[in-house]
Amino acid sequence: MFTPGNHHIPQNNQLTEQVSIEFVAENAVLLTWPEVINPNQHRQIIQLEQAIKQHFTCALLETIVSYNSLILYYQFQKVTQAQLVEQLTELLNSAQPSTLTTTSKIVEIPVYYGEDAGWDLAAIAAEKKLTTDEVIHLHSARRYRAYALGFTPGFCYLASLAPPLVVPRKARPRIKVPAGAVAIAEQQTAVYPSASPGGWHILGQTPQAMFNITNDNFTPIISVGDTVVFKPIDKTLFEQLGGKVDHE
Amino acid sequence: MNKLTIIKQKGLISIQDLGRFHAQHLGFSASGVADEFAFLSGNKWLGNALNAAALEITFGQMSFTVDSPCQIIITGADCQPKVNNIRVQHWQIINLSADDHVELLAPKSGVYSYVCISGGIQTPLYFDSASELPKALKLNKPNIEVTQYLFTCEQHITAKPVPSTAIASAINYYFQQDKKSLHVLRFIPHHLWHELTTKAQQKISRQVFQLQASSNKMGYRLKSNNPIDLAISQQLSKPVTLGAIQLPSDGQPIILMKDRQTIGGYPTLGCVIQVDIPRLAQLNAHQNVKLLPITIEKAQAQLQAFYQK
Repeated sequence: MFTPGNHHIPQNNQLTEQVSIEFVAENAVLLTWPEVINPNQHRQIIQLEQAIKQHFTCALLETIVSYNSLILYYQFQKVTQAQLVEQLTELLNSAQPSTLTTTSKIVEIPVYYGEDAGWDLAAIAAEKKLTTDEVIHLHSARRYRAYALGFTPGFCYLASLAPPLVVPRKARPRIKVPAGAVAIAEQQTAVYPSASPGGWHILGQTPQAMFNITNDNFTPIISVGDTVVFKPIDKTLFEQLGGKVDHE
Repeated sequence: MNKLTIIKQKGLISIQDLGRFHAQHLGFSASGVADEFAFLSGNKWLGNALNAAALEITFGQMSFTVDSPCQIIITGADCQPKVNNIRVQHWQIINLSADDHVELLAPKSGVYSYVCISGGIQTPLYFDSASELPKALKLNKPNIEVTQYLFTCEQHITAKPVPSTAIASAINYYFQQDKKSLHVLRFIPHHLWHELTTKAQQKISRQVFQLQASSNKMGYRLKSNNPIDLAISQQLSKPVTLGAIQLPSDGQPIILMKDRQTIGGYPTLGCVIQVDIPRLAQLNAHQNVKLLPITIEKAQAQLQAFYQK
């Protein structure tokens, strides 16, 4: 619960040495950590989000986590900025990682990396002076952390790619990337849960649906904080698992 | 259940309410009506629940009938509505009989019109919202023909006519302009703005921006002769809010609207205040706007007053 206090908002907009705070909209406050993709930092952010959900029940509307940031949407009529700053600082300082349980799982995603499915596989291999097999190995030999859900429902930002695969987004996004496309951009990789425009490079396709809908419940296969691995499969298995290659 | 049947449709028609704010952490756009002012006014005057689902019509040019007596009100962009070919008043309660034919023309200005109906459009909710979901998700339940919408009209024929002063005051909301008849968008400044020199801030405040035709409900694109150079480009994607003023590397701002993504990677100069969003939503391509910083306290006071109207 919020308690009134006389504390003023720090002039430097820092909550702690690591965390800055910004009142970005009438009903939103954005917390930002250093500009790096880092699993430990991200774990702290998720833990703080859980603590916020436990403490700020009355005024909290929604929280969203990303790589190095956390937004709180709140009812500004119920709590002042100063109170919010005070409470958040307290939570940050009292956060004890061991007492906060995070539920994270390992998600294995089967990927057919054939060149008919990996629309950009050959181009990436050529650009990086690698064979397509090397590209596939670099992509599938790594474990990724799920850093954020966004873009479209169930789209999960995974990182970090092996350095040789890091590549800028396509200069001109495609009008349509098929559902199930496994793609890379910069340090990230992701699966497109539904057909949409997109500027990432497609390495393969998965037959795995990225969300379940049952009785009006929407459950993404990957949750923020999960670990994700990609498992190469051949075309026969891809089709047995219900996959149908989308050609460009 | 009673039916509203679309006879003619040229532009987009969708069911909307205030949106699904609480599913953003799963990647769902908050979505909802482009113009909250028109939507809320319509429901209020009709005696509906304020969040009762309505039809959002983009650029008019549609017609429909109802199969039973009911009351409707058409708000937002003025589509010179007609009932059975006779002109009726915009922003005013209309009493319909069964089989009446309602027609909306293309608006002379503005974008979005709302048909609010007594009791609201009846449709299954998803994450507490009737707003239509992206088609690609295949989550919509087409249990009726797409050209038909359900409503319940029993005991809803009670709304009194809207006083002409209230209508005039509503229409006046859309004309908050400065002396040179420029539309002023007030914004809450972000860190980036505070880091600019006073001279650079003044330059942006004096700048005239033109709304681009490529704007849509995800983002309204502005353009000026002097791109804003912030010497900061892409950063790690962060959650973004309604009204956020994004600055891509070309220095031409994009203001995030109702169908925005939940997170984005461009630096933000500030956030257009929520009270000014409906006004902005109704601007047409090539109209000119200015950006004016105000404090967050003022923005919050304005928003509170807006919802109490």
